[in-house]
Amino acid sequence: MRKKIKMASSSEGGRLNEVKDALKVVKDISDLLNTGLDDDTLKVCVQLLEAGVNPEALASVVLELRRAIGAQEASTVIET
Amino acid sequence: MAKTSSTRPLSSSSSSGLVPDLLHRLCTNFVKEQDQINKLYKLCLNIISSNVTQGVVSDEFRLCQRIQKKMVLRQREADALRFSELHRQMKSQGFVKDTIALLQFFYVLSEDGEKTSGEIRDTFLMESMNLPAALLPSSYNPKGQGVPKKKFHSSTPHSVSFSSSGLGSSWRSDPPSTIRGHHSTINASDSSVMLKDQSTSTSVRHPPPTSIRIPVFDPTESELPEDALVQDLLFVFQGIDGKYLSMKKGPEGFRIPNELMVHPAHLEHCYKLAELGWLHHKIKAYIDMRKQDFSLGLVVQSFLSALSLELTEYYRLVAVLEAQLSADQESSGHVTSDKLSLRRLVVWTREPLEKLRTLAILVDGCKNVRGGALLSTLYLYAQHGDPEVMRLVKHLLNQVYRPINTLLNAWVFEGQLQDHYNEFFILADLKASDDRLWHGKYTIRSNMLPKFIPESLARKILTVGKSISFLRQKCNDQTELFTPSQKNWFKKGDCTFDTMTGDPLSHIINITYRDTSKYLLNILNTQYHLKDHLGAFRKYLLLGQGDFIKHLMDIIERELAKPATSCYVHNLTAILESAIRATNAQYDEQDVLSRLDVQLLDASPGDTGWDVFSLLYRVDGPISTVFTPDTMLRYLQIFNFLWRAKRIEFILAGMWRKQMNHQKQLRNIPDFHVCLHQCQLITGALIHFISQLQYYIMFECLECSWAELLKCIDGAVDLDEVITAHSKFLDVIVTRCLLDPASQPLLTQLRTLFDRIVEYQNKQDSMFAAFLTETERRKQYELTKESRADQGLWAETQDETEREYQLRDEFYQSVILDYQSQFTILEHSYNDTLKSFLERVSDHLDESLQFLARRLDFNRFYRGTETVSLLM
Repeated sequence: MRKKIKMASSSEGGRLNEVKDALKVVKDISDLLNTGLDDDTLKVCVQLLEAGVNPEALASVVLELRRAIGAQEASTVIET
Repeated sequence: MAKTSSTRPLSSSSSSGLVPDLLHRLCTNFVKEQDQINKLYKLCLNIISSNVTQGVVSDEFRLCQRIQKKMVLRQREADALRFSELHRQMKSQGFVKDTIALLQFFYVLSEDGEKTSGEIRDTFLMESMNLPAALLPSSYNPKGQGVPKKKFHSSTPHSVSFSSSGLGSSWRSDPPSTIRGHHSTINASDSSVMLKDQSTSTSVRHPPPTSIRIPVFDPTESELPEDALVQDLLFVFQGIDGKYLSMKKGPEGFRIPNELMVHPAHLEHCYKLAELGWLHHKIKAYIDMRKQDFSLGLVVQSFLSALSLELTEYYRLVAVLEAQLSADQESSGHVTSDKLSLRRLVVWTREPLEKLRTLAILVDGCKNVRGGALLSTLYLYAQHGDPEVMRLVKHLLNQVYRPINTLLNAWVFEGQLQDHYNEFFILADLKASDDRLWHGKYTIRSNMLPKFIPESLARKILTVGKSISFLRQKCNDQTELFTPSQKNWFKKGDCTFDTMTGDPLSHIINITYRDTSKYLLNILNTQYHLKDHLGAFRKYLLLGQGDFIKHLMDIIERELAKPATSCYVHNLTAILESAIRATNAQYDEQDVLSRLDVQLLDASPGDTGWDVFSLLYRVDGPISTVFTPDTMLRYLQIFNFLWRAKRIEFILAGMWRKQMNHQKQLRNIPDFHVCLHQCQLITGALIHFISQLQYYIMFECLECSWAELLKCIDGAVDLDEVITAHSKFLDVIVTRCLLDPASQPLLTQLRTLFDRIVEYQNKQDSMFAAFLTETERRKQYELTKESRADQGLWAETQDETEREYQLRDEFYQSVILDYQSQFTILEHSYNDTLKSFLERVSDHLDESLQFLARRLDFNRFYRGTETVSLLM
């Protein structure tokens, strides 16, 4: 595994492509599972997970954030 | 439910700066305003650091499988294939190192599209549902009916140990998510088996993603399909309102609203099946209502737990059915022959229905009972013709019996009553002092006596425990009466209702009863000399020691003749001491003699010492259980009667002695002859009366009962029998001595007779005094005459002679005739009293008293005159 990464880092463009591919795969899986995450969020989440954050805790963070937006939108709707 | 993950510790030490940074970015992705970002950021940081998980499967392979299976279930086979492809790609790319974490993350989020995260299901229910079919009891496993054990098994092989909501909800949500949506309102209200919102997660319900195809039935469109009803019924089985079937208040149970179109056959089946739900609801409500109330006692608690166990088995069946249903839906499209239909449900639930019905009946029957009464009620229900019902109730009984078994063990082997909830059939009166330990402290509480323990056995159990407690507390005897193996009789693992009650129990009780009673009697006889004390009572209080009593009477007479107020205990005690020393009583045990004492009763004005004197025998320690204060009072009563009769006998003997003494002195004067003769006749009659009475008392009353008492005590099995025999002994004596309330008139007459005798004694004494004075006077006169004659004078002058004759005549007229008439009156009144006494005695119920009447009037002397006078 480490060897592969080293090899991947040998050329800058190839590495970028690889990352893009990988992210696409992740995004596909995410879509398949109806997580409703957009690209940016997904990227941050992947980084967080790689940093060792508990996946379930992270999931609840996302849910919490969604709820917050929902509440905010609802309140703005009522205001308008 | 939430548990801290130990497998993935937050590696904050290595990337402490990274994580907050990323989190902040995450927040900015969602919201724009700065203050809100900060607020959310803090919240997120909290959540992350709380590190709380719901325990999503941590095995990557299994997680993938689950995700794929879910997709297949929703007819997204293509997606499932694509997922596995993408997963493989991701693995091979190696860009994401922690693929499992990513998948878990997605999984939780995807699930959340369908339901609110963090919902906790009733763990009880879930545990039972997660059990693989192979573990189900055979009774609930419809044999050969095509329950897809294999599929269910393979899908949740891990779940038994897992028992957390993550897995549970995952397959719980396998059925079309419509159900969940429709039930959301109920979920919030129902409390027993329902899903609850966790406090940490908020109850936002996201609309289900549109990509999932939801089979929705339009109720108004056409008849309800059978599948929907089956699905509904599975909820109803657990007492939860279904989509169509819902619980109405009142007795009718689950009903389908009228506006829904249901096939009549289906409707009938549905209602038949819905009974299960109703019954379940009833039992569950009973359990929940009482679960927290510990004051109801251990028996009720064990009954509740037994009921809960039965319900658990029932839940297993529901779990199996649900597994079957989800298997059906998995394979929907194909027409399978073993699809779950209403008809099948009816067949499969027949047995549990019967079971629940029985349980519901029990629940109704046991509403207001507790402790031993609950056992009685259950036992009565166990007397059922149906072997299945009988087995079920017996099974419950086995568990409910346990607390009673424990209590019984402590009671029978230790004499301890640990009945904190008043459930046991032996009641301890905590207010009763230790003196009343045997008599009043422990009683049988008949309403808590289980019906399968007969009254006689219960009494034996009471005696066993009482004996041990008596030995320990009163006799300070800590001897272990039972071998350890005997003590384990009640502690064996199989001491259930079936194995313990009936013959084994009575066998154990009989042995312990025999041993403890024997030991207790032995201790009382050897260590505490019970029999010696009984003998002392007989000898001294019941006048058995003749020489002692006679001597005591002789030397105490003068003291007792004084008025009661001038009698002193110390004087009398000294006399008692000398009486003991002078007679055979001195050879008695020192312990016995030291207990003998004198007691003076409360004196009323006019009483003499005779009326208040009484002997006393002091008892203490364990034997006072036999000689209770009540018994002592009866001894006192009997002693007073015997003492009085003895005194009368003593008086008459004295009178007879006097007569004999004065006979010679008085016989020279012919004037006295008639009167003296009358006296002798009366005395003879009185002596006859008193000697018959004494004979009767000594032999018929005392000796016979005493012999019987000795026999009873020798043959007694337990202390109770000794006490009963003793009290019976006293009863007999009291009755025969006419001391019981029923013989009160007889006793009064007897007292009158005694009083007459005392009166007569006084009269005779005064008569003798008068006669002797007269004799002395005449003797003096004669002497004067003689001395004059010696001097050669006329012995007497005419005047003197006349005066002397006049004197004698006067004496005769005034004194002798007076005495004669007095005696006649006395005799008459005595005879009258005796006659009516005889009449009453000969009608007495007691045979020996009738014999007394016969003996007193053996020649019909008294009654004969009566009849003659009646004839004339």
